Amino acid sequence: MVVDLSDAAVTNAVSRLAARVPGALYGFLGGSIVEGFANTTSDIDLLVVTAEPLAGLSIALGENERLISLEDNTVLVSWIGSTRVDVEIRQAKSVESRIVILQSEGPDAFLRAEFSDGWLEFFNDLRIGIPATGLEVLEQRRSDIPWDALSGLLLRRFEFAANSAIDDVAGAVEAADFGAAELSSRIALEAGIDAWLARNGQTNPKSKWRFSKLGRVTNGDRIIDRYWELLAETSENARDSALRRAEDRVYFAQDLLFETNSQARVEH
Amino acid sequence: MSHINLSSHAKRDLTARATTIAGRTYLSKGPSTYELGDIELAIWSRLDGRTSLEVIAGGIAQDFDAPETVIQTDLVEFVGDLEAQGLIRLVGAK
Repeated sequence: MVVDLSDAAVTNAVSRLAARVPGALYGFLGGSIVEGFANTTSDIDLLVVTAEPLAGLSIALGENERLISLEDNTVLVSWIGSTRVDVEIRQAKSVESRIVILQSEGPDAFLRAEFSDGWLEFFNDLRIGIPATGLEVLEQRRSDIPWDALSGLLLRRFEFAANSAIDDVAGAVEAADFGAAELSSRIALEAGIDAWLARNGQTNPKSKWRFSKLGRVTNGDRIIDRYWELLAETSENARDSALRRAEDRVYFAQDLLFETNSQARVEH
Repeated sequence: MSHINLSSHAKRDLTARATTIAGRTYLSKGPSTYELGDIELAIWSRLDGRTSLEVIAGGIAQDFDAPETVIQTDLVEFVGDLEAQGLIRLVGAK
Protein backbone atom coordinates (compact mmCIF):
# COMPACT_ATOMS: atom_id res chain seq x y z
CA MET A 1 0.00 0.00 0.00
CA VAL A 2 1.21 3.51 -0.79
CA VAL A 3 1.88 5.63 2.32
CA ASP A 4 -0.99 7.92 3.23
CA LEU A 5 0.52 11.35 3.79
CA SER A 6 -2.67 12.64 5.38
CA ASP A 7 -2.47 10.04 8.15
CA ALA A 8 -1.97 11.92 11.45
CA ALA A 9 0.70 9.48 12.64
CA VAL A 10 2.71 10.09 9.45
CA THR A 11 2.19 13.85 9.62
CA ASN A 12 3.38 13.99 13.23
CA ALA A 13 6.42 11.84 12.52
CA VAL A 14 7.33 14.04 9.54
CA SER A 15 7.03 17.20 11.68
CA ARG A 16 9.32 15.67 14.31
CA LEU A 17 11.89 14.80 11.65
CA ALA A 18 11.82 18.33 10.23
CA ALA A 19 12.26 19.79 13.71
CA ARG A 20 15.48 17.82 14.17
CA VAL A 21 17.21 19.77 11.40
CA PRO A 22 19.16 22.66 13.01
CA GLY A 23 18.11 26.06 11.69
CA ALA A 24 15.17 24.68 9.70
CA LEU A 25 13.31 27.56 8.00
CA TYR A 26 10.77 25.57 6.05
CA GLY A 27 10.09 22.04 4.93
CA PHE A 28 7.78 20.21 2.57
CA LEU A 29 6.97 16.76 1.33
CA GLY A 30 7.81 16.05 -2.29
CA GLY A 31 8.76 13.16 -4.53
CA SER A 32 6.72 10.43 -6.14
CA ILE A 33 4.04 10.13 -3.45
CA VAL A 34 3.11 13.79 -3.70
CA GLU A 35 3.43 13.71 -7.48
CA GLY A 36 1.02 10.78 -7.67
CA PHE A 37 3.51 8.35 -9.26
CA ALA A 38 4.15 6.25 -6.15
CA ASN A 39 3.93 2.50 -5.70
CA THR A 40 4.22 0.27 -2.64
CA THR A 41 8.02 0.53 -2.55
CA SER A 42 8.11 4.32 -2.73
CA ASP A 43 9.78 6.16 0.12
CA ILE A 44 8.82 9.49 1.63
CA ASP A 45 10.80 12.55 0.52
CA LEU A 46 10.96 15.38 3.03
CA LEU A 47 12.84 18.48 1.92
CA VAL A 48 14.08 20.90 4.55
CA VAL A 49 15.76 24.24 3.93
CA THR A 50 18.03 25.44 6.69
CA ALA A 51 19.69 28.74 7.54
CA GLU A 52 22.74 26.81 8.75
CA PRO A 53 25.72 25.90 6.57
CA LEU A 54 25.63 22.22 5.59
CA ALA A 55 29.30 21.65 6.45
CA GLY A 56 29.42 20.49 10.02
CA LEU A 57 25.66 20.04 10.27
CA SER A 58 25.09 17.95 13.36
CA ILE A 59 22.04 15.76 13.89
CA ALA A 60 21.86 13.12 16.61
CA LEU A 61 21.16 9.86 14.82
CA GLY A 62 18.71 7.25 16.03
CA GLU A 63 18.79 3.54 15.36
CA ASN A 64 19.13 2.65 11.64
CA GLU A 65 19.54 6.29 10.68
CA ARG A 66 22.35 7.64 8.49
CA LEU A 67 23.53 11.10 7.51
CA ILE A 68 24.97 11.38 4.01
CA SER A 69 26.83 14.50 2.87
CA LEU A 70 26.57 15.15 -0.86
CA GLU A 71 27.97 17.93 -3.00
CA ASP A 72 25.27 20.50 -2.37
CA ASN A 73 22.88 18.82 0.04
CA THR A 74 22.85 16.50 3.01
CA VAL A 75 20.45 13.59 3.37
CA LEU A 76 19.22 12.14 6.63
CA VAL A 77 17.97 8.63 5.98
CA SER A 78 15.33 7.74 8.56
CA TRP A 79 12.27 5.54 8.94
CA ILE A 80 8.61 5.88 9.83
CA GLY A 81 7.66 2.32 10.67
CA SER A 82 8.88 0.29 7.72
CA THR A 83 8.80 3.22 5.30
CA ARG A 84 12.06 4.91 4.48
CA VAL A 85 12.18 8.68 4.73
CA ASP A 86 14.85 10.69 2.93
CA VAL A 87 15.21 14.08 4.56
CA GLU A 88 16.98 16.18 1.94
CA ILE A 89 18.52 19.22 3.58
CA ARG A 90 19.57 22.26 1.54
CA GLN A 91 20.96 25.58 2.60
CA ALA A 92 18.71 28.65 2.26
CA LYS A 93 21.56 30.70 0.79
CA SER A 94 21.92 28.21 -2.09
CA VAL A 95 18.18 28.23 -2.79
CA GLU A 96 18.01 32.02 -2.74
CA SER A 97 21.00 32.50 -5.05
CA ARG A 98 19.29 30.29 -7.65
CA ILE A 99 16.06 32.24 -7.35
CA VAL A 100 18.03 35.43 -8.05
CA ILE A 101 19.57 33.84 -11.16
CA LEU A 102 16.13 32.79 -12.38
CA GLN A 103 14.73 36.26 -11.76
CA SER A 104 17.56 37.97 -13.64
CA GLU A 105 18.35 35.51 -16.45
CA GLY A 106 15.13 33.54 -16.87
CA PRO A 107 15.29 30.55 -19.25
CA ASP A 108 18.67 31.77 -20.57
CA ALA A 109 20.21 30.19 -17.46
CA PHE A 110 19.48 26.75 -18.91
CA LEU A 111 23.12 25.71 -19.22
CA ARG A 112 24.26 27.05 -15.85
CA ALA A 113 25.73 24.48 -13.50
CA GLU A 114 23.61 25.87 -10.65
CA PHE A 115 20.61 24.13 -12.20
CA SER A 116 21.71 20.54 -11.93
CA ASP A 117 19.14 17.76 -12.17
CA GLY A 118 19.07 17.61 -8.37
CA TRP A 119 18.22 21.29 -8.10
CA LEU A 120 15.58 21.06 -10.81
CA GLU A 121 13.98 18.21 -8.88
CA PHE A 122 14.14 20.33 -5.72
CA PHE A 123 12.35 23.23 -7.40
CA ASN A 124 9.72 20.91 -8.83
CA ASP A 125 9.14 19.56 -5.32
CA LEU A 126 8.99 23.09 -3.96
CA ARG A 127 6.28 23.88 -6.53
CA ILE A 128 4.08 20.86 -5.80
CA GLY A 129 5.15 20.04 -2.23
CA ILE A 130 2.91 19.62 0.80
CA PRO A 131 4.00 22.02 3.57
CA ALA A 132 5.47 20.31 6.63
CA THR A 133 6.93 23.21 8.58
CA GLY A 134 7.54 26.98 8.24
CA LEU A 135 4.48 27.57 6.06
CA GLU A 136 4.84 31.35 5.96
CA VAL A 137 8.47 31.30 4.73
CA LEU A 138 7.62 28.51 2.29
CA GLU A 139 4.81 30.54 0.76
CA GLN A 140 7.10 33.57 0.49
CA ARG A 141 9.74 31.55 -1.37
CA ARG A 142 7.12 30.12 -3.68
CA SER A 143 5.92 33.58 -4.56
CA ASP A 144 9.52 34.72 -5.22
CA ILE A 145 10.09 32.13 -7.91
CA PRO A 146 9.30 32.98 -11.55
CA TRP A 147 7.76 29.60 -12.38
CA ASP A 148 7.37 30.36 -16.08
CA ALA A 149 11.10 31.03 -16.26
CA LEU A 150 11.80 27.70 -14.59
CA SER A 151 9.56 25.86 -17.05
CA GLY A 152 11.25 27.71 -19.90
CA LEU A 153 14.68 26.78 -18.57
CA LEU A 154 13.70 23.12 -18.45
CA LEU A 155 12.31 23.29 -21.99
CA ARG A 156 15.49 24.92 -23.33
CA ARG A 157 17.61 22.33 -21.53
CA PHE A 158 15.77 19.44 -23.17
CA GLU A 159 15.68 21.09 -26.60
CA PHE A 160 19.42 21.63 -26.41
CA ALA A 161 20.01 18.00 -25.40
CA ALA A 162 17.77 16.72 -28.20
CA ASN A 163 19.40 18.86 -30.88
CA SER A 164 22.90 17.91 -29.75
CA ALA A 165 21.97 14.23 -29.85
CA ILE A 166 20.35 14.62 -33.28
CA ASP A 167 23.64 15.99 -34.64
CA ASP A 168 25.42 13.00 -33.11
CA VAL A 169 22.98 10.60 -34.77
CA ALA A 170 23.43 12.28 -38.15
CA GLY A 171 27.20 11.80 -37.89
CA ALA A 172 26.85 8.22 -36.69
CA VAL A 173 24.44 7.27 -39.48
CA GLU A 174 26.75 8.85 -42.05
CA ALA A 175 29.63 6.79 -40.68
CA ALA A 176 27.44 3.65 -40.39
CA ASP A 177 28.36 3.53 -36.70
CA PHE A 178 25.35 1.53 -35.52
CA GLY A 179 26.33 1.60 -31.82
CA ALA A 180 26.64 5.37 -31.59
CA ALA A 181 23.50 5.77 -33.72
CA GLU A 182 21.54 3.48 -31.41
CA LEU A 183 22.62 5.20 -28.18
CA SER A 184 22.48 8.79 -29.46
CA SER A 185 19.08 8.27 -31.05
CA ARG A 186 17.66 7.08 -27.73
CA ILE A 187 18.93 10.29 -26.12
CA ALA A 188 17.45 12.38 -28.95
CA LEU A 189 14.10 10.64 -28.68
CA GLU A 190 13.90 10.92 -24.89
CA ALA A 191 15.02 14.55 -24.79
CA GLY A 192 12.51 15.37 -27.53
CA ILE A 193 9.71 13.84 -25.48
CA ASP A 194 10.94 15.61 -22.33
CA ALA A 195 10.90 18.94 -24.17
CA TRP A 196 7.33 18.26 -25.30
CA LEU A 197 6.38 17.36 -21.72
CA ALA A 198 8.00 20.50 -20.33
CA ARG A 199 6.09 22.56 -22.89
CA ASN A 200 2.92 20.88 -21.66
CA GLY A 201 3.48 21.82 -18.03
CA GLN A 202 5.36 18.80 -16.68
CA THR A 203 8.25 20.18 -14.62
CA ASN A 204 9.38 16.98 -12.95
CA PRO A 205 12.72 16.34 -14.67
CA LYS A 206 13.05 12.70 -13.58
CA SER A 207 13.25 10.47 -16.62
CA LYS A 208 11.90 7.38 -14.86
CA TRP A 209 8.46 8.99 -14.74
CA ARG A 210 8.36 9.77 -18.48
CA PHE A 211 5.54 7.33 -19.25
CA SER A 212 3.55 8.43 -16.18
CA LYS A 213 3.93 12.06 -17.19
CA LEU A 214 2.82 11.31 -20.76
CA GLY A 215 -0.20 9.52 -19.33
CA ARG A 216 -1.46 12.64 -17.61
CA VAL A 217 -0.99 15.09 -20.49
CA THR A 218 -3.62 15.67 -23.16
CA ASN A 219 -2.58 13.83 -26.34
CA GLY A 220 0.17 12.03 -24.42
CA ASP A 221 -1.24 8.64 -25.43
CA ARG A 222 -0.28 9.01 -29.07
CA ILE A 223 3.28 9.74 -27.96
CA ILE A 224 3.34 6.79 -25.56
CA ASP A 225 2.45 4.40 -28.40
CA ARG A 226 5.10 5.71 -30.76
CA TYR A 227 7.73 5.98 -28.00
CA TRP A 228 7.16 2.36 -27.02
CA GLU A 229 7.39 1.28 -30.65
CA LEU A 230 10.65 3.16 -31.15
CA LEU A 231 12.18 1.75 -27.96
CA ALA A 232 11.42 -1.83 -28.89
CA GLU A 233 14.23 -3.95 -30.24
CA THR A 234 13.78 -5.74 -33.54
CA SER A 235 14.26 -9.47 -33.42
CA GLU A 236 16.27 -9.92 -36.60
CA ASN A 237 19.32 -8.18 -37.97
CA ALA A 238 19.39 -5.87 -34.96
CA ARG A 239 22.66 -4.28 -36.05
CA ASP A 240 21.54 -3.80 -39.63
CA SER A 241 18.32 -2.17 -38.56
CA ALA A 242 19.97 0.07 -35.95
CA LEU A 243 20.67 2.89 -38.40
CA ARG A 244 17.12 2.78 -39.75
CA ARG A 245 15.72 2.81 -36.22
CA ALA A 246 18.01 5.70 -35.27
CA GLU A 247 16.64 7.74 -38.16
CA ASP A 248 13.05 6.96 -37.15
CA ARG A 249 13.77 8.10 -33.59
CA VAL A 250 15.29 11.33 -34.83
CA TYR A 251 12.34 12.00 -37.13
CA PHE A 252 9.95 11.57 -34.23
CA ALA A 253 12.10 13.71 -31.91
CA GLN A 254 12.20 16.42 -34.58
CA ASP A 255 8.43 16.28 -35.01
CA LEU A 256 8.00 16.75 -31.26
CA LEU A 257 10.51 19.61 -31.16
CA PHE A 258 8.69 21.28 -34.05
CA GLU A 259 5.38 20.89 -32.24
CA THR A 260 6.92 22.23 -29.02
CA ASN A 261 8.49 25.14 -30.83
CA SER A 262 5.24 25.98 -32.65
CA GLN A 263 3.23 25.95 -29.41
CA ALA A 264 5.76 28.19 -27.70
CA ARG A 265 5.80 30.69 -30.55
CA VAL A 266 2.02 30.88 -30.78
CA GLU A 267 1.54 31.51 -27.09
CA HIS A 268 4.32 34.04 -26.65
CA MET B 1 13.80 14.72 -67.50
CA SER B 2 13.88 14.67 -63.70
CA HIS B 3 15.20 11.52 -62.03
CA ILE B 4 12.49 11.92 -59.38
CA ASN B 5 9.16 10.28 -60.06
CA LEU B 6 6.21 8.90 -58.12
CA SER B 7 7.95 5.61 -57.42
CA SER B 8 10.88 7.43 -55.78
CA HIS B 9 11.54 7.23 -52.06
CA ALA B 10 13.04 10.20 -50.24
CA LYS B 11 14.12 10.70 -46.67
CA ARG B 12 14.68 13.84 -44.70
CA ASP B 13 18.21 14.93 -43.93
CA LEU B 14 18.67 14.31 -40.21
CA THR B 15 20.20 17.73 -39.59
CA ALA B 16 17.43 19.67 -41.33
CA ARG B 17 15.01 21.23 -38.85
CA ALA B 18 11.54 22.65 -39.23
CA THR B 19 10.81 25.72 -37.12
CA THR B 20 8.00 28.22 -36.84
CA ILE B 21 8.84 31.90 -36.77
CA ALA B 22 6.12 34.54 -36.64
CA GLY B 23 3.53 32.09 -37.91
CA ARG B 24 5.61 30.92 -40.87
CA THR B 25 7.29 27.55 -41.09
CA TYR B 26 10.84 27.19 -42.31
CA LEU B 27 13.18 24.32 -42.96
CA SER B 28 16.73 25.06 -42.06
CA LYS B 29 19.99 23.27 -42.51
CA GLY B 30 23.07 25.21 -41.60
CA PRO B 31 22.73 28.76 -42.91
CA SER B 32 20.15 27.96 -45.61
CA THR B 33 16.39 28.17 -45.04
CA TYR B 34 13.38 27.14 -47.09
CA GLU B 35 9.84 28.30 -46.35
CA LEU B 36 7.11 25.68 -46.17
CA GLY B 37 3.36 25.95 -46.69
CA ASP B 38 0.91 23.68 -44.89
CA ILE B 39 0.87 21.03 -47.63
CA GLU B 40 4.64 21.13 -47.98
CA LEU B 41 5.03 20.67 -44.22
CA ALA B 42 2.70 17.66 -44.37
CA ILE B 43 4.77 16.21 -47.20
CA TRP B 44 8.02 16.89 -45.35
CA SER B 45 6.85 15.03 -42.25
CA ARG B 46 6.09 11.93 -44.38
CA LEU B 47 9.44 11.67 -46.16
CA ASP B 48 10.70 8.67 -44.24
CA GLY B 49 12.52 6.82 -47.02
CA ARG B 50 10.05 3.95 -46.90
CA THR B 51 6.91 5.50 -48.28
CA SER B 52 6.85 6.15 -52.03
CA LEU B 53 5.99 9.60 -53.32
CA GLU B 54 2.89 8.11 -54.93
CA VAL B 55 1.58 6.88 -51.58
CA ILE B 56 2.46 10.19 -49.93
CA ALA B 57 0.62 12.08 -52.69
CA GLY B 58 -2.47 9.90 -52.15
CA GLY B 59 -2.50 10.64 -48.42
CA ILE B 60 -1.98 14.37 -48.91
CA ALA B 61 -4.72 14.57 -51.56
CA GLN B 62 -7.10 12.90 -49.14
CA ASP B 63 -6.11 15.01 -46.11
CA PHE B 64 -6.30 18.30 -48.00
CA ASP B 65 -9.23 17.32 -50.24
CA ALA B 66 -7.24 18.16 -53.37
CA PRO B 67 -7.03 16.50 -56.84
CA GLU B 68 -4.45 13.73 -56.63
CA THR B 69 -2.93 14.46 -60.05
CA VAL B 70 -2.22 18.06 -59.07
CA ILE B 71 -0.68 16.98 -55.78
CA GLN B 72 1.47 14.39 -57.56
CA THR B 73 2.92 17.00 -59.93
CA ASP B 74 3.55 19.51 -57.16
CA LEU B 75 5.03 16.90 -54.87
CA VAL B 76 7.59 15.70 -57.41
CA GLU B 77 8.60 19.31 -58.07
CA PHE B 78 8.81 20.08 -54.34
CA VAL B 79 10.95 17.01 -53.62
CA GLY B 80 13.23 18.06 -56.48
CA ASP B 81 13.66 21.47 -54.83
CA LEU B 82 14.42 19.84 -51.48
CA GLU B 83 17.01 17.62 -53.08
CA ALA B 84 18.65 20.60 -54.77
CA GLN B 85 18.86 22.30 -51.35
CA GLY B 86 20.40 19.18 -49.77
CA LEU B 87 17.40 18.78 -47.46
CA ILE B 88 16.47 15.24 -48.52
CA ARG B 89 18.16 12.20 -49.97
CA LEU B 90 16.70 9.76 -52.45
CA VAL B 91 16.93 6.16 -51.36
CA GLY B 92 16.17 2.78 -52.86
CA ALA B 93 12.70 1.42 -52.15
CA LYS B 94 12.46 -0.33 -48.74
